[in-house]
Amino acid sequence: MKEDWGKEAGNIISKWARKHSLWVLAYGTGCGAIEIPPTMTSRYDAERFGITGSATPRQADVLLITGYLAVKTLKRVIRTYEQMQSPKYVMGFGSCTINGGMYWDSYNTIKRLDDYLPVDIFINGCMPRPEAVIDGFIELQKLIDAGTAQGWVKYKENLDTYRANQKKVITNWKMPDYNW
Amino acid sequence: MDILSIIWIIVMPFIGSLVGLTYMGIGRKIIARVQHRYGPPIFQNVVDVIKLYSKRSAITHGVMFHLAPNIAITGTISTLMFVPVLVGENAISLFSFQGDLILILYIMVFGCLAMALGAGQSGNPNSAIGVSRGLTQMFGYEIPFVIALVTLMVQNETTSVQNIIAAQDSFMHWNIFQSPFAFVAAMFAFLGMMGNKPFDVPFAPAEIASGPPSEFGGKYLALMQTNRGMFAFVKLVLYVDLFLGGATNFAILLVKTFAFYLIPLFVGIVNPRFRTEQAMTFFWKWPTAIGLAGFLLVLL
Amino acid sequence: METIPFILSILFGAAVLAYLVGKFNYILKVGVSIVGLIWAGWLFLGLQGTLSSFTFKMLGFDIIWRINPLSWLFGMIIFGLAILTAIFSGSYMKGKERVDFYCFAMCITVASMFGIVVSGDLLSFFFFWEIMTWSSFLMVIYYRYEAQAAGLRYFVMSMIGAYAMLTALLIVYAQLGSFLFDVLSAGWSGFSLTLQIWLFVLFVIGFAVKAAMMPLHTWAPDAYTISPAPFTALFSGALSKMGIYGLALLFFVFGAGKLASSVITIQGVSLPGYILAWFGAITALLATFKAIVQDDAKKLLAYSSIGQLGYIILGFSLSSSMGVTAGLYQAVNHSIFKGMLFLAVGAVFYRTGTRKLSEMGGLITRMPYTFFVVLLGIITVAGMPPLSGFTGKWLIYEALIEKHLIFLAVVAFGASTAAFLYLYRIIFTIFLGQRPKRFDEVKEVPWMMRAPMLILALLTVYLGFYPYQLLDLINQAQVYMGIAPFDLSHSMLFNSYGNVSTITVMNIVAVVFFIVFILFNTLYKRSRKVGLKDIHTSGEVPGEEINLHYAVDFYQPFARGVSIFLKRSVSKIYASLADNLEGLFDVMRYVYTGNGQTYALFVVIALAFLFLVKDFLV
Ligand code: SF4
Repeated sequence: MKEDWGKEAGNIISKWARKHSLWVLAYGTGCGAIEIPPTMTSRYDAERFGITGSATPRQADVLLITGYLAVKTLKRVIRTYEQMQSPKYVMGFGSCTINGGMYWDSYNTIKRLDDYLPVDIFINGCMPRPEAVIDGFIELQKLIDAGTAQGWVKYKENLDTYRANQKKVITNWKMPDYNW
Repeated sequence: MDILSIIWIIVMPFIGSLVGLTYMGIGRKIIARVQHRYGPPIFQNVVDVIKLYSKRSAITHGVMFHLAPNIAITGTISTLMFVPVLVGENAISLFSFQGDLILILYIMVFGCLAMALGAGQSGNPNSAIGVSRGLTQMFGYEIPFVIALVTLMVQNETTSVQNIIAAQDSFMHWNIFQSPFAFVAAMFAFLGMMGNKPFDVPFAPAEIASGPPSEFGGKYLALMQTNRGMFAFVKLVLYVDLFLGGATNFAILLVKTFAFYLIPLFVGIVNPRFRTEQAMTFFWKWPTAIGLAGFLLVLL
Repeated sequence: METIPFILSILFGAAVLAYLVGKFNYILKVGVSIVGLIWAGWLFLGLQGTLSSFTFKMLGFDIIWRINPLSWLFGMIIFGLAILTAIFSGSYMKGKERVDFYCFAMCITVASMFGIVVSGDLLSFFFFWEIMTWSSFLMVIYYRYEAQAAGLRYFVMSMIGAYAMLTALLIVYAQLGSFLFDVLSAGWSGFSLTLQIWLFVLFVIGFAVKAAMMPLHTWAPDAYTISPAPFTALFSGALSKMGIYGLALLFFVFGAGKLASSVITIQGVSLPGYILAWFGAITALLATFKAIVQDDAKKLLAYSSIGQLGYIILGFSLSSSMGVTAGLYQAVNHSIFKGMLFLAVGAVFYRTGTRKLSEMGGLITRMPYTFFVVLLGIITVAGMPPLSGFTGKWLIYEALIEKHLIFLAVVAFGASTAAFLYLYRIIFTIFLGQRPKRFDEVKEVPWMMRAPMLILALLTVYLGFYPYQLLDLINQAQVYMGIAPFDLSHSMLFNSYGNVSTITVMNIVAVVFFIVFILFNTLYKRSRKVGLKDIHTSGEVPGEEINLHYAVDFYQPFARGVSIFLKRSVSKIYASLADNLEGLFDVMRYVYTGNGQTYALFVVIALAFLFLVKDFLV
């Protein structure tokens, strides 16, 4: 009983802390990257929610993928995601990550990011405005609070499926094993 | 050793890191306000550290990597033990009677060396570049710093921090007024020591991916951030002890340390970043000249 | 038989025997020298506290060999290091050529150093000094052709020192009619001031060459680099200490310290001492700068060694109780840590076959013991508590601050901070970072090489925890030298300025470390170990063949910042001097044409000249 109480308290605290401190690794892939600077700087000031940029994947909590992903880039994104320390969240940004957007019939971009990485939340728009981005972050905070932002668990559990999908598009697969 | 001092010895590191981290949070808030932003809550850094502690996984690159944050925090706590925190009636002096300023100077570097070793073992070239820059910069600011400290030690004829504080018994006897040149030189060194804006080339996040800590994550980074907060606190307390005559209670201590914290912060807000060799040679020009002027005053 | 000549004969005997049996068996020749050294060292250990002396007459001169606390201290450095390096070389020299010659030269060097510390008169002192120079010269040129230039430079510089010393020695004999130290120390104050200064300068040149003080250091970097690794440890750890021993003799036994009272003093330090202190401090600073930009591990350590000896000279030349304690302590300590580091670098060389820092990397997993030794070594050199280097640094700074020598103190502090740079470089570029593929199969060195390094490493830990026993011995030496002993309690280092309890420091560091360690490792589950290629490189996976070790030009910004200091070098000044002299001798060659007729003409001219001036001559 007592142990449960301790665990419960720890859970609440860590949830609260995770929610209020999101270090974002913005992988500026597509055109959407242009919306990140205004989100972070004076005009929209995402830092007031505890959202800051981080320099390396080892330190980051949120992987923000801003737009279409060429196959070549996808490999790097997967690598980056796998280097992050769990719990970690993925945000798909813009319609390109949802269904391919205006690149839906492109020969070398992927259409659904969801197939390759466990996306916790998508932000719709082409491109989404900073308000929408911040809205997305707040939604992510709600998910963390509710305990449903479990993408990293999903990824670990369904690693085989994800790997199969990834290897389908990435032909020169030469990567170290997943370490979480 | 009575029970109270043992309690203080155990509690002090926690207070130190908490205060240091909160100062950093306030610093972020102030920077935000200067940039016309709302800014994060002032406890943001504490929240960040708690989050890092709650991370579920961590990777290590080897034994030095694993031990580095551990040794670094050992170095900082040991330094804290030898710095008198409060003086006067309810003094909190921990072990400060058993070590003098020279010890503090050297034991302060202990943690930095451990960090450098850990960064080295991470295998990331960015970390090594960061360390190389950091050490170069350290050699720069150490010169005015040492000039200031030697001036103080010779002027007060003692190397013990306790005695230096005791000599500053009244407001006008504070070393900031007694040896203003040494103070200015030491303040320049302080800018380099805190690693705020003009002197943040070792950590430059945009160029070398935050430098030495770039491979650390999760619990390691948490320990390092705690260490960073505590180290800032130790440096601030040491400066207050040396130049502002120490503090007799916590309120005064907080006021004085925060005043010192603001100086590098304000300098940092409005300045771009130095290049590495500029960051080193900068300290050998005006700061050193001012320090030497202080020397001549002592000699005469 | 008297102990001192007996020890000497053991050492010389071991040398000859090792050379003779060396023709037959490897183990035999190494064994003979190790056993000889250990036996001699054991006998010498028994001489502690005794004042035994041995007198005889040779060619009509009185010769005294004696033991006193000062020479015992230096003798202990010699024997301790010599035994450890001999054991180390037992494994290191295996399979190398001319091992018998190596053992011979090693034993002779140790014997001559022992001779130096026991001799009580200038004659035998000079005699042993020359044997030491010769035998160490043999070691420097061990790798024949590549060592030629270094050997020549070492030899020329040593000769300069030797001639300076010989001149001084003859002046002393001409004045006093005796070579004995006792006579000299009694008679020193009778000399005129000019003569005192001359003697002082000549002796200092003689000793400073061996102690590699700038600007007489030019031989050291190359000679240290090129000699076999175990001998380098002895070279830097013990042989260069003979210069320090000489300075100690000069100041406190010969009576040059009395010079102090006769000339100006600056803040309580005699003018010659003050100048020498500046030489020491500048040496410490500039050699450190030089060390930072070296790419050869041994050369880096060689410059570091020069710098550290600068500290020791600085301590001695203050002539105060603290200063001399600092100098002696640092002398012992320097032998320990420099021995350790040179051996460790030798061990790395033994396994990897390179000394270039930019070619190595990531050896920590392959050679963990050596890494540990280097780690303790650099902490000690840097003077960080809780290891033994801190006590030395503390003593020096207290000595400087006590005398209010603020400029010297700042230079000394600066040099010690700059030392962090090269220390980090040496441990990082060799042991940390990514490992080149060709070193994947490197193994740790055999135990015979590990043991000496580990013994020295543990010694630094012990001295860091409890330096008081060593300080006791130093105090005895100081009493012999006629200096007030350093005030000593057995739990604190203190003087009227400040105090440090080394025991408390060690305890705090250990306790805090273990508490954090236990908390950190029990509250979290084990972290995953990943390879060194698994790093943040913006998502790119570095291939097998790519090595991301940052080791070339490690301190390039630093080198750019201090280029003013690095541009000038003493060797270049000497080289230009040599060039100019060569020009002078070129002119003289017109005189010595090698042609008999020209010589005949010279003779005729000379005779004619004499004939002309004969009236004035008589
Ligand atoms: S969603 Fe629109 S703006 Fe974003 S990357 Fe795709 S095309 Fe560009």
